[in-house]
Amino acid sequence: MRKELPLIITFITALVCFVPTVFKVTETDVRAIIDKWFVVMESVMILMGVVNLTRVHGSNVRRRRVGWIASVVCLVTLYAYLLLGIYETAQGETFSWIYDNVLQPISTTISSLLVFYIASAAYRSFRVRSREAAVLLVAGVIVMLTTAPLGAMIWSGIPQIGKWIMDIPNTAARRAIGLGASLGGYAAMIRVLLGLERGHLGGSGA
Amino acid sequence: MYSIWKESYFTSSVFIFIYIALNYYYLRRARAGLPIPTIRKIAGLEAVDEAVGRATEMGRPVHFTPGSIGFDAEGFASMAFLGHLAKLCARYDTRIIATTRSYLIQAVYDEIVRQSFLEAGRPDSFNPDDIRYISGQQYSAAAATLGIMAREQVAANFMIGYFYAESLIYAEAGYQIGAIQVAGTTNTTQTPFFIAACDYCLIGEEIYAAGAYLSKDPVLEGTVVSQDIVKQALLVLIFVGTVMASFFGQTETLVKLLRL
Repeated sequence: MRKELPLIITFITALVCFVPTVFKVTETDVRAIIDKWFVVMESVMILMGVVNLTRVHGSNVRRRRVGWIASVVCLVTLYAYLLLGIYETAQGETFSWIYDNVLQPISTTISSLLVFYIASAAYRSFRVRSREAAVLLVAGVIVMLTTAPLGAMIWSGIPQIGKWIMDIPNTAARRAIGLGASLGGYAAMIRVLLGLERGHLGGSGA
Repeated sequence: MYSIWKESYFTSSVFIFIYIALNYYYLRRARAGLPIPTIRKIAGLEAVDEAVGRATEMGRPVHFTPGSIGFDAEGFASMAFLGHLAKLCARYDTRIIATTRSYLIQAVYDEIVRQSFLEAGRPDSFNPDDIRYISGQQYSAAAATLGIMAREQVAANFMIGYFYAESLIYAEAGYQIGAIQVAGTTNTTQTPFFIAACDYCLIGEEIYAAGAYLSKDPVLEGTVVSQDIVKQALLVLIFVGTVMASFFGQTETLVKLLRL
């Protein structure tokens, strides 16, 4: 029953969402009601995240693992910000100030790491080791020159070729992958709905 | 005839029913031991055993992250993949670290990995602290995951799910510590980054087939075959539409039919 119960719940919930979406059986927006349930459940489930963070970092601190000071900082920040949010609400001045002036700059800093990572990954990809890599190199250089003013200065045809690469082969490939992925996602959800794919149940259910 | 269907849902419903019927047909054939068409080899999935084996030999952990997923198709695909990965790690008694941005998914991952170690007869090897909820914030999660990968010196890094800009941060972190990397996402903007930075990359729908492919279960493989047949039918439709639009100036007929 441990495996069957989740499968039954999944099947019934999916059917309850699917049938009124596709067929004219009810005027009530069943999906909207289930979406509301999901929001309520999600709000409760956030506690699971807090519990997990507390357990993992609490364990780091107790056992004095490498970098345990960072775990202390994480736990203090988590609970201090949580209490501040409860006291001040999410629209509170201090709460918003911390979010805008601490979290956002840190996120932007991490995001800026991408510049170096892109350069490093591009260097490895552009090393011509095969015909495919050669095609990638040529296309990449043309597109880069298209977006940089230097391209048009070298030859006025470069921006046109770059635009063609982006508009025709690139768009065609992206749409083909997108089409396959949408269909694959659709098929995967039907497999879950029918209980054929049980990876989410773990163990031999997978 | 189709008055019980809501507007513009008739054709898509027909496709769903055809897909379910095909699934049922191949399911019956597989259960009866009759031959079914084989799925082509997917290099990224063939490499999973090799990557876990390498981690086992090196005595280093395996890392898995699904990126930015929830209870959606990519989420279920990541769970199916993790289910297989956890079973492999449990069999070889290799440590597995799973990090996620979703507290909902973290609870499911915990259960998947725990169950895999239990069934392998190694409940003591399962460490609940290795199944970690990181943060809902995109870059906070990226920074923390990067740190975990570097500190734990993971030997294999699996990234299967849906990724935004953090994809390259994970992939480059894995490359720098010399981990063997298998990645897959349906986000076409991030796929090139994975192709550039990882050893193996699953493209588009391959991540959805991973669970069925890795299980080597003919019943599940039959469902992927059904999917391929529907995809071929769609390709025929695209071809017919292209011919109708290019040579006969008919751009609306097929669209109207599909919107029934």
